[in-house]
Amino acid sequence: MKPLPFIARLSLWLLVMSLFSLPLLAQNLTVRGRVTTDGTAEPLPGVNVIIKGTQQGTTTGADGQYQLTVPNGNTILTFSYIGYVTQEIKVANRSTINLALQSDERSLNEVVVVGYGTQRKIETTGAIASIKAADLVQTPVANVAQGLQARVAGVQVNQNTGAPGGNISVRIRGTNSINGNSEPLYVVDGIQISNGGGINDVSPLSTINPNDIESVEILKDASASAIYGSRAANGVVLITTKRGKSGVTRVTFDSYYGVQKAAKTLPVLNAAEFAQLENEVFKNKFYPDPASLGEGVNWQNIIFREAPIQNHQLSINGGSEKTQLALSANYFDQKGIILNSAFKRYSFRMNVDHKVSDRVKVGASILGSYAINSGITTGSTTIGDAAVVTASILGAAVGAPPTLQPYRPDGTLFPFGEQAGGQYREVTNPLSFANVLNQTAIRRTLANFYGDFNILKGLTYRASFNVDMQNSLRDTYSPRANVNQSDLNDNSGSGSKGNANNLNLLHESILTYNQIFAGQHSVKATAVFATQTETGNSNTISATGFPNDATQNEALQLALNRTVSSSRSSQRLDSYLARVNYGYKDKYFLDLTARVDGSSKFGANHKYGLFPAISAAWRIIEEPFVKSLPWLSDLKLRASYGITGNAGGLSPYQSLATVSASGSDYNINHTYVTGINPSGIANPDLRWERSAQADIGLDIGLLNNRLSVIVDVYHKRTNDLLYVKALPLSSGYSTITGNFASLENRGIELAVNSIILDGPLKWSVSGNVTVNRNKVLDLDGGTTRERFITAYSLLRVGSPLGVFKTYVFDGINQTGETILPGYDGRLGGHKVKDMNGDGAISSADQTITGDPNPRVIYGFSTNLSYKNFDFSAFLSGSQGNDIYNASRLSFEMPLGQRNQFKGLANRWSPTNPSNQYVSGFQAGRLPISDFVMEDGSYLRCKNITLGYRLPAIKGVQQIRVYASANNLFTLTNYSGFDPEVNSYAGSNTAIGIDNLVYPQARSILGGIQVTF
Amino acid sequence: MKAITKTLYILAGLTLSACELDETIYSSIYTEAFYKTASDAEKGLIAAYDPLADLYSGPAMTMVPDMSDDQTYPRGVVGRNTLTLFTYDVNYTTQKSNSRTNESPQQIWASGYDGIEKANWIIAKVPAATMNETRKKQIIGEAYFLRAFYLWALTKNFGDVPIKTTPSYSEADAIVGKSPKTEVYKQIYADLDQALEAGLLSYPAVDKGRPSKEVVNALYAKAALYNEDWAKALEKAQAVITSGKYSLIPDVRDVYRYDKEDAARIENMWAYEVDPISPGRSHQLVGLFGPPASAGPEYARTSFGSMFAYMSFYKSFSAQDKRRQLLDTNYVDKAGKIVPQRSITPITTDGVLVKKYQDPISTSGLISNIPILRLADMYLIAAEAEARLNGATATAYEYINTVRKRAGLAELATGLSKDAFIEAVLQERAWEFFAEGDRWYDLTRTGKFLTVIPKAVNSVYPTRNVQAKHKYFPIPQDELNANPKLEQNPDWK
Repeated sequence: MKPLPFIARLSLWLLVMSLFSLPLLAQNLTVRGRVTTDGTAEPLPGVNVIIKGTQQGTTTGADGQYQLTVPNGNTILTFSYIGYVTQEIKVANRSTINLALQSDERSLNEVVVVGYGTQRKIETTGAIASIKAADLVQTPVANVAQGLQARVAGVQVNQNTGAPGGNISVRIRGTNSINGNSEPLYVVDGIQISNGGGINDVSPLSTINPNDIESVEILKDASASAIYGSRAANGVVLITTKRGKSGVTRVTFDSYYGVQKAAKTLPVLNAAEFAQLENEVFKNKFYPDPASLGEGVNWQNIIFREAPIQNHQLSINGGSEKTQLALSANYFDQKGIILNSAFKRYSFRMNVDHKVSDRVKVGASILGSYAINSGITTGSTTIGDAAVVTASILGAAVGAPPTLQPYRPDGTLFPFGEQAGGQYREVTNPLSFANVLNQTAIRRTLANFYGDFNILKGLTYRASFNVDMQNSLRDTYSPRANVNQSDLNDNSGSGSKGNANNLNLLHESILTYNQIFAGQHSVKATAVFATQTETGNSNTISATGFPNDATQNEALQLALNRTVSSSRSSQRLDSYLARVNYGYKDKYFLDLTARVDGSSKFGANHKYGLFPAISAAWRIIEEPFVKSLPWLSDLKLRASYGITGNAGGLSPYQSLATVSASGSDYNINHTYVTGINPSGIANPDLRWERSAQADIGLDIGLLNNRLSVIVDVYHKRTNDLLYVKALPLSSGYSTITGNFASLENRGIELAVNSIILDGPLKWSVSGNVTVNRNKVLDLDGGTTRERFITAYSLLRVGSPLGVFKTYVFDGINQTGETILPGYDGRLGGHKVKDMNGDGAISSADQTITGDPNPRVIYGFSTNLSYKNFDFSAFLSGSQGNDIYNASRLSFEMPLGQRNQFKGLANRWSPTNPSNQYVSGFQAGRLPISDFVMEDGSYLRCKNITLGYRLPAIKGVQQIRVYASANNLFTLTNYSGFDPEVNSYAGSNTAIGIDNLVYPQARSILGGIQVTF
Repeated sequence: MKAITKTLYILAGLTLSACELDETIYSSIYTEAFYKTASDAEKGLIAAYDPLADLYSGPAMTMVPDMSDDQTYPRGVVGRNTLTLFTYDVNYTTQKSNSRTNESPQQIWASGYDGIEKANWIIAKVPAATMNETRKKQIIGEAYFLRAFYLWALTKNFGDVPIKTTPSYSEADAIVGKSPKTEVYKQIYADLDQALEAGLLSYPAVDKGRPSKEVVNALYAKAALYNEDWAKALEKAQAVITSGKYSLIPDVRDVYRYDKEDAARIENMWAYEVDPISPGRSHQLVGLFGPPASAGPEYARTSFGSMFAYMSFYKSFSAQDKRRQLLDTNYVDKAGKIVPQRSITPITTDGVLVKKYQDPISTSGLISNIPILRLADMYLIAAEAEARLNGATATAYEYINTVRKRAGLAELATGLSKDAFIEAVLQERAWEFFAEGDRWYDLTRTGKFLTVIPKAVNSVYPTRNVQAKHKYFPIPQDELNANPKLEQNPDWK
């Protein structure tokens, strides 16, 4: 940026010169030339070339060429293009002017999207991180949240399942809730949508096409997010889709195709080893000659497959000075690496902006998508009960006897009850799950209409109307063919059809006043009124007892038994908010924000909540004492404090006393009758969770911003946390939900971006590191100190969420050893430590043995380009988190009938005194000990891409082809499928638990990007 | 800042009336708008029966006492053996971590109070409902009966327990301390007195599953027996016997026949009702008592071999006792082959099968009801209460011999001392009510459990360390955590 006085002088000089020269050189002159990008020298289409001081001009064509007739040789041409530094060039009687425009990425005018508006980046006082569109879709993602992973400091993205379209949990600055929702608020072009769902659900975000996204901003601290009030405490993800730009129409086509496969299978006993174990467990000779059985069937190889993934996108972007539009069509299709799982999406988008007059601008965005997800249950949350764990495809594949056959000779599914004399009647053929229909089809329309009215100079009013319509249809069918012939009966076969629709209407009135006083005081004031209503309707018909499988669930009337359910709910949120941004000389900034949210979900005693924030920034770089330092290009200190809320865990009517028909039934006169009873005790005090967050941050730019560093330190204390407090059962109810608990998150975030080489060979490196510490401060006012969430995950005052409390494993009870009373101790069984030394094993001997929260998470990426080649690599990692590998409680516990992990080949016997693996036994179970606790640290190579830009050909501006490898390798000591796992999906409290979850695929992709 | 806040609040106040944020409810009803009509009252009453199904679907009501007693024992899976071995703790940790709370004393606590709360709403709200007054009285009467039953289920397992007679309207209402056992029985009596005045129908007019007027007296008699209130027990048992509404079925095995269920109602006065329907309420006993791997088609379509009788108990029967035929030491497999005792179960060579809950036909739901109150019980209560009051009188002999005769046994030897007679009644009860969730309470109320249990052992359970504290189950620790007014049973502190 050139200093202002110089520009002023130059302009004055040019003006004078042109005045003088006007009569002398009043002849027309044709100027032509080519505009390219600086550095890569790519042609730049759509650049505005304007004769300065007039409206006349042209834009560059696809090849970057332009031609323009100018009045005279002294004419000044203005070359401007969004995202590039505007340049003014004097024609100086030249007929050819070629120009390279410099990218404006780090300029002072860089703008970031903030809540209800935009801000120049230098003015921001809060902790806001932006992710570039290109980074978001570097890996083949179905869901924008996947693209955020490891890109931003302070954001932990955990892909709980590798299932296509599956659940992803996002935590901004730690988990802030216990029984509420900890997912951030997502705002897509101003429309606030929610994310969530269980491990086997479709992620709501996956209905949005990530390729349409222009930018993603993450509002991390209270100052940035408080503008979203009662929904801001978990941070806010602002998603802005691509809008049209005036100039030449650009048509781009992006396409990739790839193949995915399982990165790993788990070693299990082969048929010979399994048969030997069975004989030992049942103390018989069911298998007369185990050794002769050899390897047998490896069921994991049968249920895993090589699966294709593809994505095709056509985008059109262009417009005139008055009207701009962006259109896109997208098809994404991912088959899962496990049979019978897939995700497919068709989406269309249209964004239009039109200038009605100098004062009025209108626009609309319409996004339509249709997504179909075929889900499959891979694991369970039940522990130590192989029968339940194997009632899912992965559990079944691990536990299925390798001595049995998948198919009958005629190629149909061979139920286990019909093999081996019915010995395995209670075990399910894993392929049965591939026959189960579990499909969700979601139709979603997100639409926005806005009008901007420029009332006075600096005063703008925007009215915006948004609608988010979602319809989903869930189809399930479990066929009769899966049932053992001997068990088939009138009630076999079950299916359901569920419809749900959701309508979310939002109106916002936004008044913005923007003015600079005395050339140095900039004031921007924003006031908003918003009202949002959300209505949900659902109905489901379930049926059992089908005559045959012919109609699946498409004719439920054919079934013997049917049940129906339906529900409707609505909620409303009214909001009033105001924000003032004040800046002095681009050096000092002060922001004040306040929002009042009134929600119908809040209890009668607390209908409205206030959420204020204050923040300030000091651009030290503007101070004379640092300005002279040549190596320092930017230095800004930020500080903020504010209160935000979280009402995501509240559902409508929750604060009120209602009656319910669920779980209330009896048989009278041989007939099933249902009753109705009060569903709980009302809580008129029910309200939002309240987070108070302080943040101090430093933005540093070095060596002309070739190295930039952002550091933030924060402390977030959340009070009034929703907590499901235990009631005495003697009250007739087990729990009451109220704002009882509190916890804190503290952390440090570091993000570094650097451009190491900027010549013909370009090399940039960026990375981020997040350290977050989480601690439960109180649960229910001091009564409860700790409470088990699962049999091993604990909620404990003073500890992080979800620490593991278990017995301490102490080997195997060996011959001659004293077996302590208390647990199911037996010879050849697990031994646990008597921690309190009382000579018996009791729950008092359980102790904290692990922590699922990582000490550090990090991401690292690098980009290299040379001539037409580009290369990038992206790594992510997590360090210091424990995983409770609960699957081992089922598959290292030989009770018979189910296969076991390979380690069991070396199980205890009087002659093989193993100190790790128990002997075969028909009863009992493994104690819940740290035996199955494992280090979950990992470093994953998420993506490597190599691209090549083909030489330009006529009619085509650019063709880039690339190949990429995703999830190429994972360095970890973890023994399960994947260390990035949680059987409890996005749970706040049950974390780091693996009871067989859909593993992430390894994929190889080839793609092409064509720009016309 | 303050000014902004103030302005915003004023703005909020001006543009909004609070009613816009009031919630419109669609798929449910506010509690205050319910219990207004006859169908509301009937629906509300069904809700009060629901916990009965929760108590009996494990069924905790029979598994808890029967796995503890000297007659039946479980295969040691999913924490069931903690009852047999007396290794359960105040947390019921093992059952909980096996997701088998439904088979544990904690279920009795939870469902007992669930039922009391639901009954409390009927008792509090239905009097104001607009409906037929006769039926209204009966509905409230059934609620009183159910409340008494739930309270009795609680006190026989836990001793001193909280008494709750009004609904929990607010969080403050939820915290109630416990009352001594004598107070608990006083409340049970009061509730049963109310139920007796409610105009409940008698058998066979009464709905299957609802208590008849005589059932109220039957529960009264049994509660009084456990309360060692012999006179009341005798009075109420006699009232049932002399009502003439019920009689013993000639062949005791027919009480349990899946195809004679309705005929058996003449003796089986009140039972947990299950039916071969879906949806419907169910229980596990058919599957648990049948041989492993569904091998005995006479027992069930699906059975697991999870519960057996002790061989010593089998041997205690006289060979003439027809009730011994409700036990078996072999079974016929699907091929029609007799499977000998040593092959019934891999866990022991002397497993004895229980045949009280057989349902060979149902694939969905079950036929076998679980008896709760039987007429035979009234005879034996009368016999014991009479003897306790007046010694081994002829009347007492008459009562016990009615039951013995039906079982195919000779009359009880005459001239027994009072204690010997009572001992004989308890033994008779053991033979009559095994696997019906009864024996354990005979052992605990008489204190005999300390001497009897250590002798009831086999190769699966070679030692059973029962202690005085096991007379009552510990109040679940979760409950104590949630209720500052509640104290653990003294022996469990």
